[in-house]
Amino acid sequence: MQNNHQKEHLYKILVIGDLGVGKTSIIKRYVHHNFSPNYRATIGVDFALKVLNWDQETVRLQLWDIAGQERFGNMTRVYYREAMGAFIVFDVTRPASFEAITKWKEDLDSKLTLANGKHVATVLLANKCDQGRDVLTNNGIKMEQFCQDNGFVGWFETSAKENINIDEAANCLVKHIIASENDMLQSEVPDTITPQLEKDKGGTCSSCFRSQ
Amino acid sequence: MEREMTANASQSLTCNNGSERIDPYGFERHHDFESYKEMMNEYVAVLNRRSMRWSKLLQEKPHVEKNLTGTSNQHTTVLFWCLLMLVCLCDVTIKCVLEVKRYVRKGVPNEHRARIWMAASGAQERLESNPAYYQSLLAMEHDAKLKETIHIDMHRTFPDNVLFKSRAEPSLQRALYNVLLAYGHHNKAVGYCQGMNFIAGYLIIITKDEEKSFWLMDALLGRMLPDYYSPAMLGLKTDQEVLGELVKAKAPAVGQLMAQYPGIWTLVVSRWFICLFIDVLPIEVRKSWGLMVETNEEIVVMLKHIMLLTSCFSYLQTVLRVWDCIFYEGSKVLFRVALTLIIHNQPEILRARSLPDVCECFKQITCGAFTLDCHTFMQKIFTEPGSLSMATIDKLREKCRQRILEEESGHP
Repeated sequence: MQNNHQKEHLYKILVIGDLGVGKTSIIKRYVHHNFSPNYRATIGVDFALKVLNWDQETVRLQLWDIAGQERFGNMTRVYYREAMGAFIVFDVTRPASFEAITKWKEDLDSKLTLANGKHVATVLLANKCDQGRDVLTNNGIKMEQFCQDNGFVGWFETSAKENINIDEAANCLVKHIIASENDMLQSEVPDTITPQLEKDKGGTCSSCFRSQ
Repeated sequence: MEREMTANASQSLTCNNGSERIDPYGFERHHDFESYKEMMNEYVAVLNRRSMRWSKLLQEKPHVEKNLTGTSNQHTTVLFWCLLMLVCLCDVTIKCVLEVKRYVRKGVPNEHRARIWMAASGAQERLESNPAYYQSLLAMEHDAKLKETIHIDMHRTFPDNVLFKSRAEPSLQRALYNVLLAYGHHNKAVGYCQGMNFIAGYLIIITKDEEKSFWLMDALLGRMLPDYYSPAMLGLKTDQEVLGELVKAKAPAVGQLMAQYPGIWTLVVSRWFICLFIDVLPIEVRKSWGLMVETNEEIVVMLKHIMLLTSCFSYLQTVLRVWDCIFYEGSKVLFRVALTLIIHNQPEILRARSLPDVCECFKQITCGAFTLDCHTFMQKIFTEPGSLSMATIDKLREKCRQRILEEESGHP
């Protein structure tokens, strides 16, 4: 892991959520800028790399595509190590995949904490928003509250198919990862303003809460 | 691509028929198929010869299903039937006969494949002694969660294959769904595990029969493979570690490299084991490629082009040959294939300087010319890794299983 005195950062990001919610599609859209309705079920783990220019610095993202079926979970635990951020994905057309979100978040938090004892930055993705908003319209107004209650730094309605909000969600996550990294690095320095993510989630990234 | 081998279908084997856009297994061909066709015609002639030998043998003895795992014959028919007599007289299973093993290693012709797999695995026997069982599994009340999970993977199983499209007539999706649902209720401890969709789909393509596919699943998952698919996946974790141990012994430099990255074996080989190399290894292409590459520069260019094309194909042929051996010799064959890929590509693997490099390399080594040429590849898997006794595998499995259980009890 690079520190921010150098011009390059490497962040490991987990992409988790129930099977068939579109994790692979989101990664392919983000990294390869395309979509296919013909992706195979992900068996085990896969990953992809994405390079971003971020304030004149290079950010390398390692996106880990983790199989959604529960039984792969105990095998893939080793890949949670050293992750700096996560997307948890659900399918807006399948309420059960939304109900599983808290389980995924608890599982993530139990396996992974940052050096300062905080949880890693996690963004919630409501995927397949091109196909309907059943889950969201039934819960619509409560989503921000849901994120605050469950420790998500933000949420986005996304569509890997229609390329909606994928880049925005990634930027939001990277911003929070950098902030939490700065938080860890600078928490010892008294005259530096330290982002207070836990207390100030809504304010640090208003775009995260904007439903588009 | 290997085809239906009946005499009537042999015309299509020359790749000159009109319906070329889709291969006989329902997978879509690349539109630029001409050059590949030409290459295939010669290999297809080999397949035809092999097929005719098998057909002859099987015709000479009408009731062979239960006893026969036959042969393409470099040996005479007489020798073969002597062997078969020996098998019957001694009341030993065909599995004991080394000659038969050798023949199976050379590949079972496609039209006999289903019955040979059924016989060698014991699936035929189970099917016959439980005639209404499969239907009863379909007729019972089904678990809603299981149904949903299977349903989600329906359009994610061989998505490029026209036969598996939901709108296909007839669609193999229905058969796939039935087989998985029946199996999930038959083996409740396993239920449904991702990866089983590819195995069931593949069996349906080969047998064209739901019930046979079900009993072959039962043979593979229930008796032949270790515990790969149950929720704890202990058999899978164990075999990944076993492979790690074997690599340490047989390719120490690769073993050292991999030791730098904890958990890397799961990352690079879990798919190999779970899918039994479906969607991992490529289709077969003619044996003579290697020679041609050395003699003609133009052809090198063409071959490269064709190798790109073949990525559009369905990865059936090499996998079929591997599966022939799995059904006859058991899960040990998986290690032979994995070790061969790793040992053969040692220099490339050792060039990797990071985890992403290693992962990319392990993807690449399953698809070059080496694995496309399935004849040579199948010879290599029985020579390149050297000796690999079942006793060694058993010992390693026991050792690794204990280690995993200890580690897991230490980190609940």
